[in-house]
Amino acid sequence: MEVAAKRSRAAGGSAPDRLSALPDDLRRRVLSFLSSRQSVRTTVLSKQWVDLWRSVPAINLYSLEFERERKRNNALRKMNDFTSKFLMLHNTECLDVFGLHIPSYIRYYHPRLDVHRWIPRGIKYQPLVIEIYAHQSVIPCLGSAFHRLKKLDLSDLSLDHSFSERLNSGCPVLEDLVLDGCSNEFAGGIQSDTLKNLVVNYCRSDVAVALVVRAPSSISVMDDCQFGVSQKGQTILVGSLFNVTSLTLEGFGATAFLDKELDNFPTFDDLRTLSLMRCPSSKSDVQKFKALGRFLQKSPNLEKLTMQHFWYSEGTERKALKCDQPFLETVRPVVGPIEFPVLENLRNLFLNKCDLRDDFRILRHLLQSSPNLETLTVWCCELPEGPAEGKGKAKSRSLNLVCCQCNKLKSTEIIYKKGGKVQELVNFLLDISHSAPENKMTLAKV
Amino acid sequence: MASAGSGDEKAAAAAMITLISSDNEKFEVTEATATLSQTIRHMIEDGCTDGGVPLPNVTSKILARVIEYCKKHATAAAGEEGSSSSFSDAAFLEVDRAFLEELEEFDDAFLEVDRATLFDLILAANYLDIKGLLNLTCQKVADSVKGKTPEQIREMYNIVNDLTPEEEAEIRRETQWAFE
Repeated sequence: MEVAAKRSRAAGGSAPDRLSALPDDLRRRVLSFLSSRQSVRTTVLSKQWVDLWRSVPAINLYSLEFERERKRNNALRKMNDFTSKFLMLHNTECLDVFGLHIPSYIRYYHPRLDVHRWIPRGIKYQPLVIEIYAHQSVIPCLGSAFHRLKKLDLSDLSLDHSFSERLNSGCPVLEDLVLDGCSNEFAGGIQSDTLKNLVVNYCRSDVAVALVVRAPSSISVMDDCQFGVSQKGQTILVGSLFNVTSLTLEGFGATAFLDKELDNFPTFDDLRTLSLMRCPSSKSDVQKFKALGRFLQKSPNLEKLTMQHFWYSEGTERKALKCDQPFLETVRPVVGPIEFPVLENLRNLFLNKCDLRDDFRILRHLLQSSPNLETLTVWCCELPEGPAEGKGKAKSRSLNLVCCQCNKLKSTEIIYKKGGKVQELVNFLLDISHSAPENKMTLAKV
Repeated sequence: MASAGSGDEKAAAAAMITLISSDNEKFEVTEATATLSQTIRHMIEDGCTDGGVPLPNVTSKILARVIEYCKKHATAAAGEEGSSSSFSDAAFLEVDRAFLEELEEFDDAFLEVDRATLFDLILAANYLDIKGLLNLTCQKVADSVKGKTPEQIREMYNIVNDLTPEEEAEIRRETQWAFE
């Protein structure tokens, strides 16, 4: 009676309780998007909610939630206390998500957090997604813990040999791997039949990460060369991907492609689609043309090439960011004689936000070496101002074009920003069109 | 004619499915749109969609919204094949990125609905087994209670507390570690 009275009072004309009316598994799904602490707190909402949190298929632990404490020791005690109780009472057969987020500064202050106990507890439930951000923690080996794992996102961890072994043999469906700021102490590399995306970022590594993807697949690798794996490590990382069909590389330095180590790997015979984003990563990289040429030589069957943020720079103003690099005050890009191989199979070329102010040098190189090119897209690139500035250069340009013979070119698209000076590019492409009768040029503003 | 044949991709792309809401309204959608729903996908695979697919749990108002979501996300999935795209294949990356942003904006706008509709969408997404929509809508509910006290959540969703004060005190004592 009392309950009924309460209900009518609460409901009095207002909407019914749709949230509690959801089936249990949907309410669990809602709770799985909350932090575990907040999820437990729903226990006092009403009778229906008392035990629901125990079977939520997600564990999300954030140290941030405990940091409001003035005294750091209290925060430490509370997180330890909460997590151990939670893991003891939480009861599910399998997890969708196991997330543990402890920024490194917390770990410096609180070295006594029981992280080494929590990680095995979470992993035990065979999560689909693991996200762990916990300074210098270690991923333990646990039987079939990774059997269902689709995404593994690790930040700031220490990864040892057993980790790579586990990854190689125990992850039959892993698709996404993110290693961010980890210290990799494993040799021998990672192997996977199923990996689709790999991000390697800011990792400290004496031993290079080598990756062998056995099945034909697409792989995308991001690395930040400024603080990332060593240059030799980058080379090994790239070289080990020799049997993928589609590859996206982001943030690799020119030296990654120029290191002799690359010769030790087979050619990329299966590679059809290549995207280079911010490669070379440094604007003042003087070896970029050489590096690109070398990598293209390794990819004889390439059909589609995308270049994004390929920057040209005279190297006059920019100071090298890395202290062990020479100061690039007057160094000009090393172009040398054309070192680009003939790309017989290249059909599509896409330049995205590249810097073409050096009289379209990159475009010219690529057109000269792609006799079977069919489509060319130039998307929001930096373009030269016009002939007035180029002076002598403008004359020599048309001479250089003699060797461009893309007579299969069918479609040329120029997409430029409002106010972009597109005339020079149009002239340049019209020159080429003499040898490509079927070429259709389209311009669009964005 | 050759609809039951093998590998007739083009025919499949153009095939239309009729969905029938609980209030008997008919919606014609492409197979690509309809198959975002695993439930409907299985029905198509079993060949039992002739004469329309009755959806007795979904009203026309909600079904229209669900179809709106599926249409948008089906084009996103098809973007890769991009036959209708005016840009070349190579431009796919950039187009794709722009599209993802647009898709996010669409999702945000899509969720601007009253609470009753939101719950109807959750139930429809669950029934039709549309994972993306289910996660999107459940996340929206989760976001709405983030950082709220149990009292605030009760008030927000008209949850009637049927625990006696003694029971509630007891539960709070047992889970004190989560309330500190």
